[in-house]
Amino acid sequence: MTGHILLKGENIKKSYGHVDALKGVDFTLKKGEILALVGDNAAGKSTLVKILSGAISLDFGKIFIDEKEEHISNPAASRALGIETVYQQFALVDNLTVYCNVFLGRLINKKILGGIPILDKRKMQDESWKVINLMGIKFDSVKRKVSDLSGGQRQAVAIARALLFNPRIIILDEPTSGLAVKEVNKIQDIILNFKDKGISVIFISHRLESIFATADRIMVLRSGVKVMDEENDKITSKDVVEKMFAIEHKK
Amino acid sequence: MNLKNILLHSSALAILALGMSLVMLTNGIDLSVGSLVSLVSIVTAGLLGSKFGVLFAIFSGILTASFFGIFSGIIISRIKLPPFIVTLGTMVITASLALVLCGGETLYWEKNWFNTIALKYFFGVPILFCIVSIFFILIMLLIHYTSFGSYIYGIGSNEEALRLCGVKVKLYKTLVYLLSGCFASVAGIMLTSRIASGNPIIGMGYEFEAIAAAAIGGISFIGGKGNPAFAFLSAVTITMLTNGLGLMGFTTPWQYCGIGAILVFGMFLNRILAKVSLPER
Amino acid sequence: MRRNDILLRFALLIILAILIFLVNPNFGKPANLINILRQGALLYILAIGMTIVILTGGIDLSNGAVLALSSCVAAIAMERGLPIMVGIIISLAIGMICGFVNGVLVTQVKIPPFITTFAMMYFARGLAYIFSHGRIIYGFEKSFRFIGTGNIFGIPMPVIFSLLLLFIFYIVLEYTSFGVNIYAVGSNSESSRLVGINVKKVRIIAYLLSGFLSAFAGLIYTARLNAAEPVVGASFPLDAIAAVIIGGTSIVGGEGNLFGSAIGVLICTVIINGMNLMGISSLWQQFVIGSIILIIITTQTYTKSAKINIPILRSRKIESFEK
Repeated sequence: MTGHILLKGENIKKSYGHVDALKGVDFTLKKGEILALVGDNAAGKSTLVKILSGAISLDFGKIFIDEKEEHISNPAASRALGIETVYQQFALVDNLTVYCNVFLGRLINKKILGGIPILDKRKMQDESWKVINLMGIKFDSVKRKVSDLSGGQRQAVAIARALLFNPRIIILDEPTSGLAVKEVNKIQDIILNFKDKGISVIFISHRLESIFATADRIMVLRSGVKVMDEENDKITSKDVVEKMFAIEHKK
Repeated sequence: MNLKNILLHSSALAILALGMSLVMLTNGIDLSVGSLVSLVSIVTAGLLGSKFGVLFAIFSGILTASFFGIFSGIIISRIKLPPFIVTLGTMVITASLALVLCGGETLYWEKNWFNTIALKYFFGVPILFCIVSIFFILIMLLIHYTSFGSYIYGIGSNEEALRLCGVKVKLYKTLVYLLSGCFASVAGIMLTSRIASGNPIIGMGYEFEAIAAAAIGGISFIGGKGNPAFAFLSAVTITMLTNGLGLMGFTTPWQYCGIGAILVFGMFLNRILAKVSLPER
Repeated sequence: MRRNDILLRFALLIILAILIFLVNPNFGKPANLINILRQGALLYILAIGMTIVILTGGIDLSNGAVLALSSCVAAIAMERGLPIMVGIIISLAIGMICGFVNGVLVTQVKIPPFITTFAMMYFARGLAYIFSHGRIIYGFEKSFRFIGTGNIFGIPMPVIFSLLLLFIFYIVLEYTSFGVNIYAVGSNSESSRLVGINVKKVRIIAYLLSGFLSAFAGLIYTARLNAAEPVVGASFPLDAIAAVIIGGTSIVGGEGNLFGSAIGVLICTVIINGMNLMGISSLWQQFVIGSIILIIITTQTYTKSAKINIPILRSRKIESFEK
């Protein structure tokens, strides 16, 4: 874990009306590191993810990528910076085919008749087929509509979308919720695989086993404040639970 | 400006907006009310013209519109087709029926006490508006003090949850369209009395005006939010403003532009008010 | 599933045509068939715009009024002696401006499309009256009238235009990023936003196209009648919506296509033409079209729910095997 600091957030604040979702959070993410983001409901995890992915904008604070300050004003800007997000509900469009979903927002065009941009369906089909197969989840065709897919297959499409554009950072918001045990293991393998490729990962989950099996570092949020930020091997799940729910030590 | 006239003119739109707001609260829409107004006008006038009693004619009018209200309601709740499509279907069907029944012509009848309803006043308030106000009070009681009222809001915000709680969602949805149909018939009868004739296209466009009045009154298009009282008020206000444009000497074309501007401005105001006011409950 | 829906509608169209033909063989004469296409062409041009707007989850009630406004303005421009091309360009520009304003009000001011376009309907209609002073403007040059009355190889110009537009917009919807984005925005606007699609831009362009097509239809209409007047087109929005719905486009957006709408328009036109041939009063036309809407959507819902059930059964079985 000796990579340089790729992503850094300073004093990030966000409130919705009277509710302060984030009350000034600092964090760092190194290259090739898997950072687990843990917290109870309404701890501010999702808000932080949404800020990084450009779905909402922050009220206060700075975000640095490679020590350069960046403003992530919309999802396209986040993607342009090499940040890919796999949302909790996958953010898939049911009525479209698998390959259109994989490339949604960045569809590939080819020029015909001297400059008219037409979708390059063949190329998109081939590339999405390749990426999805890499993950080892069974698929018969990428021309299927997403509405016909199972939960695991949908997850694969969502991850394929993140993987395809050589991201530097992948954010996974509850990637294992609602999946069977077998599929959870597969997702964990995929996350470890990212690390081997040098991709940094921010990983949100309720499942502590998954977190301890994959993460290098664990960051705990409680009511919008960072309460813990430790290397995986220096803490136990008991420490994490205590911090999450603010349980006092009875010694 | 003549307040009496405004109340008289706003009666039909006000009661339609009331019915429409109930439908929209359940996340529905009723495009058929305008043609139902026309159909009721033709049925009532036709029966009066054939020397039937006034009460029988009125009753038949109400029955006709109720039938189509239940028809839409059953298709929407049982077959689960989108309300927009179903009521569009009933809309064109009833519009056509109105034309067929009268052969496309205006119907008249020998003058009787039905003609004078629209001309009477009760302590300076038009009788028609009094009738509408009674319905308004009844609907307010229904909304605030009955389980049906809370189901209407419930169906609009989470129909599935209500169904799982054992609420007869289909029945209540059908009832809402029945109410909307009934209100359309009341509007139709009032207009027929006012113009003293049966006109097959008198209700044309009323459905959109009622929807606009409800929307400007803060009834959400996705259901569950809003208060029919404001829909009612906005219907009266819209009539006042549009009539006002005429009284101020604007010609019809400018009135059209004015109505367009009022609608947009009304929605804009509504959005600002929604932002300023505190969140509900 | 989509292909089945189209086939269902195509079958209905053929059955209707055969029934009418059996009652009145005049229906099958080439002149009458071309007549049907010509009658349907104008509605179809409006239906293309309506389909695109409905696909994004919106609706456009203003197309009839925009048609009246843009054709009146074009007519006035030509009456005053401006070149035909200038008149055409002004008219198309006005249509696009109206559509653009609709789009901006819907996306930026966040007024529901229903109210926005309803207000635009009043506004455009009012302007049409104001500009034309409520009179009928008639008598245009032959070269302009050609786009409404001309023929090429016996095919009326309106039909050629509508086929051309079908081709262009079919390509746009099926083979361009913009087309995919339209379907994406209509079926899940939040997901579309999260993956970086500019949802507002897509919606605005959809309304703009609808405005453009309304103005285009207005030009053809004016050329064919050799007259422009501010009252035309009051029923066009609902006619177009009915045709689009009969054509199988989902009213909540994200599903449907232009071939469906073409069949929807043809079904409506064939019914009206057939009823005229059979001497049935035109007062019944709406009745039949309303019934067709209800019948076809009911049938579609039943066939669809029957199909959805099958994969659920299948996946349950696999799960139980694994355990």
